[in-house]
Amino acid sequence: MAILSEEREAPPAAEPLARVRPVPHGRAVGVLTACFLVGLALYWAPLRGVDLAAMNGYGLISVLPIATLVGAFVLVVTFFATLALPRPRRVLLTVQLVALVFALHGLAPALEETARPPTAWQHLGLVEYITRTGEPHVLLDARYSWPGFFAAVGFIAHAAGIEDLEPIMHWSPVGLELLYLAAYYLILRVVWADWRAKWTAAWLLVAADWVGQDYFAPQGLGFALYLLLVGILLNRFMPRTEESAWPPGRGWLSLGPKRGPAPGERPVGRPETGERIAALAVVLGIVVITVATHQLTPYLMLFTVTALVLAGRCTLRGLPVLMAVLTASWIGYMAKAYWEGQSESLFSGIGNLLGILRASVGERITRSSAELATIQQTRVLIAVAMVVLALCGLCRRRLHRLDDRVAAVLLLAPFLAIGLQHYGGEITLRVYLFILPGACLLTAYLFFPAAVPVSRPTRAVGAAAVCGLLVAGSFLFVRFGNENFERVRPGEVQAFHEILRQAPQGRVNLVWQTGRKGPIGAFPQAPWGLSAQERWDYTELQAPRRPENITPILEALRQRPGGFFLTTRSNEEYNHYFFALPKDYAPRLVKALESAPELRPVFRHRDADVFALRVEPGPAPQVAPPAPFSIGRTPWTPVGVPVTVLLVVVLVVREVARIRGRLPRRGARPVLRWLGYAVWPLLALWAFVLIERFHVLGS
Amino acid sequence: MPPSSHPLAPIVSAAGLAGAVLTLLGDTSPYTGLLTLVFLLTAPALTVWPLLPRLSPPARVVASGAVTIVVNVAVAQAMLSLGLWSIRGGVAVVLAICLLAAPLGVVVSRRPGRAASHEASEEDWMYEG
Repeated sequence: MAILSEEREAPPAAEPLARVRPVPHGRAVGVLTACFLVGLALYWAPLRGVDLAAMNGYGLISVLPIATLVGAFVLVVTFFATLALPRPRRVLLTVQLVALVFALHGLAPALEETARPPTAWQHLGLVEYITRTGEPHVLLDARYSWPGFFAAVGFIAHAAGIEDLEPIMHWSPVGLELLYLAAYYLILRVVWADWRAKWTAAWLLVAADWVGQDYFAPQGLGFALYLLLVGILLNRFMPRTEESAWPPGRGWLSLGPKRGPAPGERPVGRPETGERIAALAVVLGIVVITVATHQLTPYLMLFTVTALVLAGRCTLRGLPVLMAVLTASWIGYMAKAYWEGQSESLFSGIGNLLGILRASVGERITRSSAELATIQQTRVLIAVAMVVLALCGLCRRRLHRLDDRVAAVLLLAPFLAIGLQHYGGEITLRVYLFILPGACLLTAYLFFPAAVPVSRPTRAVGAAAVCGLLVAGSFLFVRFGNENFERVRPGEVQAFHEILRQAPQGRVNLVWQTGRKGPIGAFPQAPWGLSAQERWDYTELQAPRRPENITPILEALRQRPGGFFLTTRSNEEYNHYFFALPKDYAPRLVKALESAPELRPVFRHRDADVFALRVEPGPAPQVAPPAPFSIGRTPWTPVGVPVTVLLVVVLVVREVARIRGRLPRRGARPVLRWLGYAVWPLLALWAFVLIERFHVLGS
Repeated sequence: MPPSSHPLAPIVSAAGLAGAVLTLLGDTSPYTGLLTLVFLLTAPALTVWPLLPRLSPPARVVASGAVTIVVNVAVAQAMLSLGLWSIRGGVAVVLAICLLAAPLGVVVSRRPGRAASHEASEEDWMYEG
């Protein structure tokens, strides 16, 4: 507290240098503040003249002015120089961290006119459908089976009278990253480390997160919920040294010599029973909404919480079972439309570990564009480097006789997700995101391993600054490497609205060209599905060798009424970089379409072109109303639903009893003991009904 | 809405409550929208605030903020799954949840010896030096 009052007396950081008493410490703060402001000016000021159209295959980095890169250099060095001060300058560090979030994650939103990437616009379409109809269209898209995020956004936006969600979508990366930092604070406050390690970890969490899952999407919220869950568990359910999470002699990892290394984290505060029950309610709420919000995140939560329990760092020993029951129940009942009739692909990933790794790492590296391949290889390199640095940090802490089980769990548990499912070849990206909280902390420990602040950290800070420069530099290189086709141009959004304006009802048949037609249907690189999602059909055409050959387009438009041919600049760039279509392919195609007498221009723009037949082959077909949402019928489902509810209630009551220290020992409290016995038959019945549902409905 | 130590809390609570009531009465002016937004974003957090007395203020803000996310997503999801989608109904449910949970907070904060917002001895890394 003494330090706190001292901090308050210190002059405000932004005050001119001359007024500050000539104390070297205060002068250093003034110099650092000045450097920070210069860095900000250098970074942002030259961005006004950036021409996004001049990007080459390396994406956004190819058009960034040198001054911006110098500014980034200054910002990184200033942050780490602030860590060299003898005590934490919290305001200055926080401001720099927030500025870093804006500089890195706000770069594309600041430069581009509309929200990115195209997927965000599909999510806008999901919100639009849900708020318009009040129902999830589970047969249209798998994401409707996990609609929590879309429903909440639609609910809040409508209640607040917000008509245009574009600004929220636009700045969602910055907002979500700030949310991650707030949640990460909960984790950092329980670890036993030098304050420099904690600030470095927070900085790395922002700078190493190049995966770009922080756009307007459920997985962005899911990651925040994951951090919040782990943070609240560590703050309120970490066992004190006198109470072990496991009875003596039980638990795998809690075995070991009595006088081993000290724990790398320490419980903070002494919460009372009532507060812990309130915290349990928050934890359960987070689990429940995550289960309803995102397909993958609940598994990662389950792995991490189970590992924390096994490692003796979480006293809620029944929580993993409860989480597993909730997750599996959602899939079995609420997400039935997702697996109905295709139970093979749901479990196809389990066991096929090597195949998944090859598919999601190796096959993601493109061969047709050298620039894209470089970017993708750099991404793999950063991920590997982060894991190696983190493992080195773990070893270094071990040499300091500190046992970082929580950080190790946060680093290693997400790897279990690789064995889970294919997840469209994206699983390794997701795993990288989820190992970051542990990896950033352990990497910070590599530089600042001691549990207490050291007095002369110059060399350590220097090394951390070099690492920081590499991480921030690689972020700027890889994060916006796909910007040629991941950015959404304003005209592309307008094109879709224009089509909907000209075809106010009935089905719309959107015809588009790809460089290589795959075995399963794909979608154009464009903000498709941004509105009236249930009305669109997508006809994918293989681009012919000569763009002047527009016969396939005409045939596709004639085949189904309500047809529109769309070509967007993003889709053309995608075809160029992924499938090596020549640069002049698209202009030649548009010219050929222009001169075709059968076609009329629907929408002409520098970002997109839409054409339709002059003479429609007939009226557009009507849209069939979707079947109402149902969990499906099987002989045992009427039993399964109440059993699931009862099982969840029993498991929650047991956790509350555990918190109150009332779990029965032998011979005591017959009611609670009966509840304990009741878990097993309920669990067996619950599992049986789920298997029965998969068997009956899945085949 | 439970009392809270910060002077802004009663103002925010009153503003939010006004927004919720106006929405329930069927008012659709922009001011009502803004006040309802304040209500949805702050009311659940303010309700749970007194229930977490031993967390340091920043940690308490984060944990209470989590409750805001939880309540809004849970209410919206429940309306969607049960086929009861209604903005006014959702606001009413959030209000009901807050009003039902608020007495718990009052009980906790009125108990003798618990008035202190958090333990002075609780160590916090932000204050370490």
